[in-house]
Amino acid sequence: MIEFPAIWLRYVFFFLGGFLLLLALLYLQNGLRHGSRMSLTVMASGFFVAGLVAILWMSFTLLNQVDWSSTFSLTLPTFRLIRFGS
Amino acid sequence: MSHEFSFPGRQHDEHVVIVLHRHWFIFVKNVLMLLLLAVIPVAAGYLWIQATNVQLLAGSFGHTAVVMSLTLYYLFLWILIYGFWLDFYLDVFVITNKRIVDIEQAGLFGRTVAEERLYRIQDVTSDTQGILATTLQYGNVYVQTAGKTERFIFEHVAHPEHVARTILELTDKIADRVEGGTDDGTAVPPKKSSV
Repeated sequence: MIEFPAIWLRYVFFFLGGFLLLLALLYLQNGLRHGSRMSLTVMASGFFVAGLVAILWMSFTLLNQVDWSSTFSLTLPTFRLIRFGS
Repeated sequence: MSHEFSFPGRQHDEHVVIVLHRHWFIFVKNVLMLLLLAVIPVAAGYLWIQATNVQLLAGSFGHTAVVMSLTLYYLFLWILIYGFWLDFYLDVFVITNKRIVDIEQAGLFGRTVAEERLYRIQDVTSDTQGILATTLQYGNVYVQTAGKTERFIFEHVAHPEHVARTILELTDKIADRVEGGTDDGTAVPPKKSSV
């Protein structure tokens, strides 16, 4: 069994989520730069941003109940086939 | 008031005859594939919970890890859908009374704009391959131009035969004007259509 601070998981989530949001921002900027005169692109971009907000809002609502100052314990599965040492 | 499609480098006396995007089915096919990918973790999670009777308590490690993983997964899928949309909608083939323009969005940082004057067009071919393409009436249009080995390819466009015929009509009009000695490199556009 391993134990680690819950905040570590949050850092990993923020790092990966931040990377994806940066990617989303690049796509958005690219889409609006080349398609700003096309009404459907503007509408699709608005819908895209609304979707991003909805996903993040749901995520933070569900993660609201986590006590980030606590620790998580994780029980690793026992490997019956592979044994280290005697 | 009519609003004519605008594209980079458009000249003031240039009339847009046809604006082509890829057929809508190409985009829908990609979206359906992503929807299938979106359903898989929910279905797998449901079956796993049914089989093992595990309960994910709010605030526990399992619950937190599942929520975070699904959030990242769905964020990724959502960005992919938007990327597919941009690829579908920003790839434009424009046929004007002077030239053909092929604007291709290749990923995030790639964009190619190729153009060719109508009078340089030598050969136009359209093809429709497969059951779906035949049923939904989409296919490719190949435009062979003078002095180039590379062809313009309008991929997966709706009504390829109509597009090929329109390009040929425009090039014929230019050829007639050249023979009549009144050529200014433009064709009188036929009735404007959008396919």
